[in-house]
Amino acid sequence: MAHITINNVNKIYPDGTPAVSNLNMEIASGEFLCIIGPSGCGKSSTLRMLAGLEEVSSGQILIDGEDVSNTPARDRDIAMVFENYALYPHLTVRENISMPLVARNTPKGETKSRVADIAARLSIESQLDKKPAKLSGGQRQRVALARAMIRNPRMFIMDEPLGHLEAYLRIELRREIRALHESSGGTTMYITHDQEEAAAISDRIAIMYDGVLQQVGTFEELIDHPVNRMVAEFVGEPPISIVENGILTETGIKLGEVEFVLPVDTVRRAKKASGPFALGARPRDFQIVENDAHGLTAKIRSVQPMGEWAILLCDTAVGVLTVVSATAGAPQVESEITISPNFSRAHLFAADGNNLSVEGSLN
Amino acid sequence: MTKISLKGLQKSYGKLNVFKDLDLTIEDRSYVCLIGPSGCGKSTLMRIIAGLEEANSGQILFDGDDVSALGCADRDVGMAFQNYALYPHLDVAGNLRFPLLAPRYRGMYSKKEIADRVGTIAELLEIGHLLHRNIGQLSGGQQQRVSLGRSLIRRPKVLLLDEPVTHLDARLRYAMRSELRRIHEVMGTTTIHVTHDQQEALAMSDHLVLLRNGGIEQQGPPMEVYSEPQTSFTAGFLGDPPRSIGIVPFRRNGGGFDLVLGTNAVALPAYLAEACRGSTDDSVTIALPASAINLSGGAMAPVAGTVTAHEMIEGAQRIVLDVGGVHFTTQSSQVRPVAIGDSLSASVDMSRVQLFSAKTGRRLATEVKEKEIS
Repeated sequence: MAHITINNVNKIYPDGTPAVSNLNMEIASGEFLCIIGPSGCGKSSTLRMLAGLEEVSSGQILIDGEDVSNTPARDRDIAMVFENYALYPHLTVRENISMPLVARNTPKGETKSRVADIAARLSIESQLDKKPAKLSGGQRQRVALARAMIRNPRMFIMDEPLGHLEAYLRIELRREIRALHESSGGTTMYITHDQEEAAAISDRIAIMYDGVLQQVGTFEELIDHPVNRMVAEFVGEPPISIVENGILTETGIKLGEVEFVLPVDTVRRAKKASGPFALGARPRDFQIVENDAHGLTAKIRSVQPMGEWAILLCDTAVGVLTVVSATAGAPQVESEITISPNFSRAHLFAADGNNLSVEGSLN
Repeated sequence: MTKISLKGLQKSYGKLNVFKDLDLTIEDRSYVCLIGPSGCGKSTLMRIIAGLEEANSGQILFDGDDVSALGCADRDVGMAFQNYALYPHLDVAGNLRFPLLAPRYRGMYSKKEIADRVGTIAELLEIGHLLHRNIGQLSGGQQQRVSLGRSLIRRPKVLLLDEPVTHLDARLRYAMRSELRRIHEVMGTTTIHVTHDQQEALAMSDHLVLLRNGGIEQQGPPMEVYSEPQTSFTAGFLGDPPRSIGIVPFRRNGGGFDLVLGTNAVALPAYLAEACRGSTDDSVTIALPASAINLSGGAMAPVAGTVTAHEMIEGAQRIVLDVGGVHFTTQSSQVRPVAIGDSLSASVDMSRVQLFSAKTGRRLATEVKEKEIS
């Protein structure tokens, strides 16, 4: 159990590159937090500072109220898992897993029973006497997880632990990691580039860009209420469609020749902000409406079926928009349809990127 | 503009047999995706077509000409890989024109021709404004376009792409997928694209080839392979959310058949029962799409299970139920509070069940015509 407080932390590398700027974050005891963001956004630096593998340039990291900013990694009581396993090749799986207990002089009987227990939970009982080289990638990552989770550290730190595993293994293991996290009661911080994995495994997600924390929230909050355009564009698959250069009207926005009504609060906030304004709508939030109904005329450029759902790329007077529809009954390529975004779920972005559809976006 | 035929391809590394006897035809101007689990041979196959790797025996024909003995440079193939492999000391234009300046093409392209081609390809890829930038100043997506432009500048007969968009962020990845298709439509180059991402393969290809253990598990138009898997492996490999797959007991019930799903016996629809008629097995492998399993009840076949996993994905909650040892994956936009270990009931639309032999994994024939499986 560990409550983490990150207070005004900065990381500047010796060559002057700022990796993390003014980071403030609270992670509740027992919480599972994912950090996502484009490469170079500072997520790994943040994780490494928390682990004690990297020093903070300024600011504080508190674990349960205790300042650990200058505490060496081994004294922080944190277990780590990385993408590249880092198993000892000359030791058996059993020896690898029991290492953290042996290092802490745990009695032999207890070590034995705990190895058996964690091996059973991760389905590697039959591999215990093998060397890591004899195992598949998925099995090796299970061993690395078993080694991290055999103790009850107050915190787990994982950097892309499922990074190069196959899709079905990733799904299987993310569920096991989540279940182990829940039963251990520890706090977990986890980096992934896979949004679906982040959504599925975590309680909350922090999104970073250019060393700056943009937003922390549940996946749903990031999808439905992104604070700015960067978050809106980074999160969501297929990505959000954005129409540039909307003209603000008394009641909403004019896209090309078509005027749409926006929620009153959004318009009120927009009047205080500066344009050009852009409107964002998620591909699942477009409706195909009757051809004579109010909406944007769209010509289907391509239909990309992905199983039960298909992605439609639509050419419109205001640019190419992505729409998700059921594969069964999807419109034909080259056909003309009329689409309308669901304006209660659309996002209006000011020139500075702020999302005017979200409460509190104007400072 | 090339049709590719692989005939009786055999490849082994020492004792490890990658391909025993592989035949594959890739039509002129088609966009083919090769997919399969790691170790299935998809990258090796691409390298053999490229001439980077030699087969032990068998033939590789480009438009009927045997190119098996030709090296990579003589096969006229363009290649782009996930790690770009651009020359960092050259600018974008320098990278694009590089293949035209190779010693073997000396005198083949005039200065004007080179400039024209760089201009045309840069316009096609919308990187005209970047021609004088250094590679280091480009984003991942821009580098990927330059890499693609370089592979296309000689207008090769065949374009080979190995995980070309894997490392890009979601936004760029989707944009590049559309871009690749658009370029293919303009250039018409026969394209082979290796990916591990089944959604990418479904969305992009004209023809999808699923490899497994060095053999072709199934091939065809992507949505046909998806909708009518001929083996339980194919059924499990394609689909998001993944289909629920498992072996369940089945038994005769009068003239029909019942499947035993956990504690419930449910009757198979007549056409599926027909497919089972000749079977002497006492169990069968079932595959069910998530949309055929409904947690809100309904009039369909009822099943009861225990929650083994639950998670949120974009716009939906996924709940996995253990029903008699088989994991049923459900997905619904309606979020319900659940915990691991909860008991839940669901109803299954039996008309959407696909049946496979539990022994061979082969689809039990229904009204769907049987297809050749290599």
